Amino acid sequence: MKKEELFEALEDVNANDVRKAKEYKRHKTPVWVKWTAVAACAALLVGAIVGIPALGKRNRKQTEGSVKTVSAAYPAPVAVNLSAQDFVESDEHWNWWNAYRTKVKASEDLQNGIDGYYAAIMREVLPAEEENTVCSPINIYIAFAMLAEVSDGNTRQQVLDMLGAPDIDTLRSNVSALWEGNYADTPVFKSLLANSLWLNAKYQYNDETLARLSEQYYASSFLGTPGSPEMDEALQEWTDKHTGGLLHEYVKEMKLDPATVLEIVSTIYYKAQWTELFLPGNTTQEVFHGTTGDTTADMMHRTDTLGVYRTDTFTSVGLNLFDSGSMYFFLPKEGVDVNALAADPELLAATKYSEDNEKWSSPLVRLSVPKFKASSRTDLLEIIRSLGLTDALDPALADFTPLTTDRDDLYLSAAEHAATVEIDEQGVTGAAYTALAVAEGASEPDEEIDFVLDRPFLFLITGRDDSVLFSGIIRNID
Amino acid sequence: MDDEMIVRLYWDRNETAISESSKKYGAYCTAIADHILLNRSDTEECVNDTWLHAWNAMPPHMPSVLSVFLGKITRNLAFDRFRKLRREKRGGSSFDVVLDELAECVSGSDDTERRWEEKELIDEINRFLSHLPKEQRYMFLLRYWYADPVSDIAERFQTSANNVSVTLSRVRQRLKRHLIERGFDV
Repeated sequence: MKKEELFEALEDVNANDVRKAKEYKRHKTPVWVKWTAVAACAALLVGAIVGIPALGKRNRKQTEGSVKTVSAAYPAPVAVNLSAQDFVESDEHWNWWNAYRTKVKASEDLQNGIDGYYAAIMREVLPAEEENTVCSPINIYIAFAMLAEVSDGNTRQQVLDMLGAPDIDTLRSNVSALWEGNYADTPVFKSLLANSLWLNAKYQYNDETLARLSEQYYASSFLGTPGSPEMDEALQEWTDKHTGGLLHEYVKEMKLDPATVLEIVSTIYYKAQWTELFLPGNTTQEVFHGTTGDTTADMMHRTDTLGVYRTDTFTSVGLNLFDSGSMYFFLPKEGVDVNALAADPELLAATKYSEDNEKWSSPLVRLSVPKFKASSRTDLLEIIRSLGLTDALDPALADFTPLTTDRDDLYLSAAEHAATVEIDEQGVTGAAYTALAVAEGASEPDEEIDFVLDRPFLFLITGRDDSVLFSGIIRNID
Repeated sequence: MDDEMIVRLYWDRNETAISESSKKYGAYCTAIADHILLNRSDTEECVNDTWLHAWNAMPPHMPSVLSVFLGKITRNLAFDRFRKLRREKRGGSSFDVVLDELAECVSGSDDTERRWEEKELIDEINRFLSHLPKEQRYMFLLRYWYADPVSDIAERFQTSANNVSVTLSRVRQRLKRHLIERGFDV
């Protein structure tokens, strides 16, 4: 029989089913009271500072005026007057969704080119001994893209190389696609990116460069006296605001060195709900076998047919996030060190489904995921040095002429990244969810597996366009 | 206007039947033709022809599910046109992907001696579909009856395109196994 004949023959299948198929729409989104299932944010601070520390100290007593601010215009939030539930059922959601999908498509196409960068940054940032580590690859990418804009020559080339961009024009179009594909502000899903520039009133800056950063990178600028309490306060307030206060423990320690010529601060704030929720009634207290010993964790449970990726070193499972991408959990095979997963060449393959790859299967998964909140702060200076970004760190070699020609001894003096990720079963308020049940697709599975995250594991949170928004390793749960 | 009324208009030879059909099911039929033809003028022509065919079919037909009755006509007309266009030149469209997926369920050979009637095959496929979980059944029909894009189906099911592809692939393999086990040498 030929495929065309089968297509024709199918026209006579049960008409009632054919009708119902077109009318069917999965309603799995119950009362959206507390809708946060994944909340995460990250901030990256990159400072370019004059290379003479003593000079900074001498100037500290200079006039400490107010901070001049030029705010960037961010896209307006969608449907601010609607509750999450009303929004999901409204035409506004469909209109937003259709527009968003188009933007995601543009960003999807460039993801392959960025994979090398994602892999490198995770390999460098995530390994550790005992503490949990979290980072936001996309956040670091955008901040360093801005650093490429203010640098030139070999300094810029090394930044481009680290980000896997052949030239500055490609980098610009990458950033604009990433931004479009990952900026969302609706009542049910937030992925907010923001950038800022902290400038020193003592210097003359290149207007063209600042204009580009403001327009293409939506960077707000703040001009004042670095080291003054006013400017530190403005810096902390801005960063807190754009990270939803989730990183306050680190933000409250942020200060501008008086010698600062430019500080770039880039942020992401992210909030999304599982497409299929965990029932809070199913959450149990169980032992988590961490690297520092056993602790008790709130373990969420769900059973469903899920896409599973299996290699010799890990098993991974992805959970969809409503209107957004997915969160993937990677459990190392017994005997494999979780730190080794951070450099596993197949990490990103497990986020991209392909029918030809027999490592994919769809068994019935009995899933156990611990609730956790993990935060970490990373000094990136040594990390970027090992990724080949060396000239920027050397006052004699660094070229920041597109920023200002007032001084020729500028160099990158600090690069600090902080990120936090929290997951729970939220969105669920007891009785409202009894109707939700397990998806019907779970019946007749070919295979059943247990996927129990009760020992150190790695996670990735991806955007709709496959951008790696957050990644981390959970070694212990307090 | 409810479906019964529209069917009665056809039986009464009242031409309002066509405008009412077009008003109520124009978009429905357009989507079906469009997924197969991906061409606006061809699609419009198919949909217009649908009303003419419906006019000729009722009476004697008295469809119980009018939407699917009309959709079936459109699907047929669009598929005929697709094959004609393909013979002429074009190919490699996203509808070819739908057909290629279906190719996994069949041998692809010309059957010289078919030991079964098409009616029996349809009955068996219906039996197979009726035993599938509801959502898998609907996914299958959306893809292979309506030729809907995988991304549209994913949205309807609030899931990822990957998930839909996995599910469809499993259903296709299961359908093939089901038919072979029951003696249909497809």
